[in-house]
Amino acid sequence: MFRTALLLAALLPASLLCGLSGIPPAAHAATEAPPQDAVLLTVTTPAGVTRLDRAALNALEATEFTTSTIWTEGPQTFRGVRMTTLLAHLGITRGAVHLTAANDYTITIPVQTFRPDGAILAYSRNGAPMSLRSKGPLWMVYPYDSSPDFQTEVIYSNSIWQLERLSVTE
Amino acid sequence: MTAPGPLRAPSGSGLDTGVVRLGVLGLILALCLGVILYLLTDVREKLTELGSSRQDNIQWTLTQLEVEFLKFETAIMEAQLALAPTPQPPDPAHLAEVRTRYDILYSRFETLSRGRAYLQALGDPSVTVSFDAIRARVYGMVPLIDGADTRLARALPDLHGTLTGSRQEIRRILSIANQVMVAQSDRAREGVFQVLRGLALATLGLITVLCAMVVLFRQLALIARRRLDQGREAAARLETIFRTSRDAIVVLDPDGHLRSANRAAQLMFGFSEAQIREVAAGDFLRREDALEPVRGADLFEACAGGAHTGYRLSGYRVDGGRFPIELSMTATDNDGPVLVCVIRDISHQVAIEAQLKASRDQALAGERAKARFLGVISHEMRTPLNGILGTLDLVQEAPDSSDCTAYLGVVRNSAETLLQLVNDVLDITQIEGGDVTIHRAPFNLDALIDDILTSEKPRAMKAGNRLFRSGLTQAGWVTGDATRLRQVLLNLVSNAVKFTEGGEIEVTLAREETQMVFRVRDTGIGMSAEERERIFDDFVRLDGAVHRQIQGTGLGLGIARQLTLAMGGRISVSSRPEVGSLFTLELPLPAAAPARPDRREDLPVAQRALDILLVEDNPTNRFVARRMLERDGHHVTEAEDGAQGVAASAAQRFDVILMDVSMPVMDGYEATRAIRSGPGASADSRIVALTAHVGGDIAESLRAAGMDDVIAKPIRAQVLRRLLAEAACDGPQSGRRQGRRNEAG
Repeated sequence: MFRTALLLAALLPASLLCGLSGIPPAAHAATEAPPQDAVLLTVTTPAGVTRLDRAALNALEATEFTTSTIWTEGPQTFRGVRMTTLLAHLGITRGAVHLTAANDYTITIPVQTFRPDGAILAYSRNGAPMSLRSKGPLWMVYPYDSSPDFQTEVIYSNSIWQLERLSVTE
Repeated sequence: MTAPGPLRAPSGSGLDTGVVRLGVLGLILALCLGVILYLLTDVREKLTELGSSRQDNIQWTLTQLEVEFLKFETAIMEAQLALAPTPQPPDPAHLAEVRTRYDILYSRFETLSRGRAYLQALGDPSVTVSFDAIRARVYGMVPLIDGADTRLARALPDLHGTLTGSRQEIRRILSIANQVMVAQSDRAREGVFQVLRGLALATLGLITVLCAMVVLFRQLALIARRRLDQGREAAARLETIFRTSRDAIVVLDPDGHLRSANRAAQLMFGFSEAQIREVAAGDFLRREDALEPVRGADLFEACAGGAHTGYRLSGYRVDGGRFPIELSMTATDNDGPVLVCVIRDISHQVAIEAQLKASRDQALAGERAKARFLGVISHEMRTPLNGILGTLDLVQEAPDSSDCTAYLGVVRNSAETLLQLVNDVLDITQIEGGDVTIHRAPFNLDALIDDILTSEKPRAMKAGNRLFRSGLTQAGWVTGDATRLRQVLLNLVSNAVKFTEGGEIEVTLAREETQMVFRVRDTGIGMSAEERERIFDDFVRLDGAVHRQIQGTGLGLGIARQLTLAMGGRISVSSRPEVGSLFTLELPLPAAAPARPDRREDLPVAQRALDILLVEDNPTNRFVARRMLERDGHHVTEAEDGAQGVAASAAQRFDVILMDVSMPVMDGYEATRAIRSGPGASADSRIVALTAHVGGDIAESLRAAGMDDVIAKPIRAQVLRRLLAEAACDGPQSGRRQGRRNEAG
């Protein structure tokens, strides 16, 4: 009886999230290019909910660097938006941001800890957009090779891929 | 300082071993530090490893594989459930969830396949094979997932079957991978543990060594402090000695300049503290004899072989005073070589030594004087005795008695000379002391010469010599000391006779104004020039005299010379060996008027015969006195000592008692007192003392004992006769008692 309840509790959020994700029904990441107006990141702030598509992200100042990662082979060139830039664009200056991935992996990072030379929200790797199978479409990566500061487990844990949602708490 | 050598040895060795230990500890310390440094780099590496991880949380990532695998399976099951009642057409929403979950799972596989860290975790061969198989199965689903919805919907049961078949395998893979990871992290921990343990051990060692060093340093500090204290104590002691010493203590540098000097030195040499640096050794130290200043270099040289003690030098005060000192010194090294000198003022000691030496010299001189004195007495007594005995020989051998009167004169002269000699014992002592008293009086020089020649003639004849007088035939009366002249001339003539055999001895007189020149020439053995030099010295006996066994003390000529000098004259000698000698005596003997002729007085003879008690222990003296008295007709009773005398006087009444003073049994004093105080018949007889003791208060003490008169020995007939005549005139009971009675009456 009790075990059944636990099982239900474990399964319930997954089914709930599936409903809320708003992923278009025919999103076949590997085979066809995702539509330009598809929402890549849902931002929830106390002021309201903002949905950013690829065009919105492209409109922001882009940053590109090449680094190796512990999850890939060989140097990778990432292109994306600085987290500081993004947060400034979204008007988030304090508190903590909660980032959630497609597999419901969630991390919380204080806004102050984002550095101008730190994480970017990458939307392309090696010049191509990233599919869900290759940790896309959004992957928050750090320039791991540039500093030992970016070679810690915390940084690795923060390097969330398949990012879908961002919320802010005070 | 070095003095306390044995004192310092143990602490010194303690310090040395301490230093050695410290060195060893220092080495260990350096070793520990090296190990720690090495371990620290190791630790830093480990820390860097821990700080900058090459991997994320692998366990999490691995378990996510199973989670996403299950979510994918769940999505398929949900899609199957949703589609089951109405297979046609399938709901795209359910399939979208399946596709998303598949993509996520795909991404997970991709991640695990690419990341090096995961390859390691899945490195186990059985795992790798299974993982690759499962991955191939999942990747094989791509055509279905990317294909049309209907086809996917239809394939859902197959997919589910495949997944279900792989679930256990996934579980196994992850368990093994987890195990690998755990072992790996265990190894990492173990590594860190090892390094940290090494570090801890090294640190422990380091701390131990540091503690030991602290202890050791403390010990060393204690030893050093103790030594410092000892040094300070020794220095204080030395300082006290230096300051309070009565001996001067100075420190000299090699140039001979003073480095320091104690107060005693300043007082001794008279320089002030401020002058110390200006004073050099030569200023206050000089050689004892040469008075040459002493140089510092000399002193250092003298000390080259070690300490030097008891060096006698002369000390000079700055103001010029000089005094004897004794220097003891030793060279030492104190900021360059220096000489530490201890100087003692030995003025007092030297004075005492001089006194001792003078006393010794005096004693020796006394000994010599005594020996010479005895020699003189012996010689001088022998000479007149010779005259007496020789004349007696002549008397004995004379064919008739007509010559006897002349001979008796000679005997008397010689005997008187002898008596004179005895009387002059003190004078002879004075001669030795150089203080000769000369009694000048007129005397007949011719008679004196005749006496001498007469007394020496028997010996001269015996040796076959001719002894005669020549030159001035009548010298007449002169003023001078007849006794001394007789002594000197007799000596010269006697010597001439002694050293001549079968020759002649000539005595020549000549007058040169007030000077009288006597020449005594002989044809005897003579002497060499060298012998002539010494002939007038004391105790000189020439070889000739010794060889011929001629008796003598060697004093005769010495005395003759001294007497001659005392009389204001000169004596000289010229001589040639085997030819003879000539002694020349020059004396101031001015001519004098002849005194009245030396005639025999008409001596008073006692009117009547007296009864006389003679108390005398010496038989010869008794005999002589008895014969003298009996010749004058007196009756003599003899007693041999005081006691006998007292007894005799008690039994019979005597007119006169002649009492010797020094006697055995009872002496003269006692006997006289006994007679006077006793009831004896002779209690108030006249008592006359006979004594050989001549001195100032002896007569007084004898009179005090009850004696009436004192006669000095030898007894001369005239003196005795005069005294007895007085006694006879006074009649009986002329002694003291009568006198007292008169006083009473």
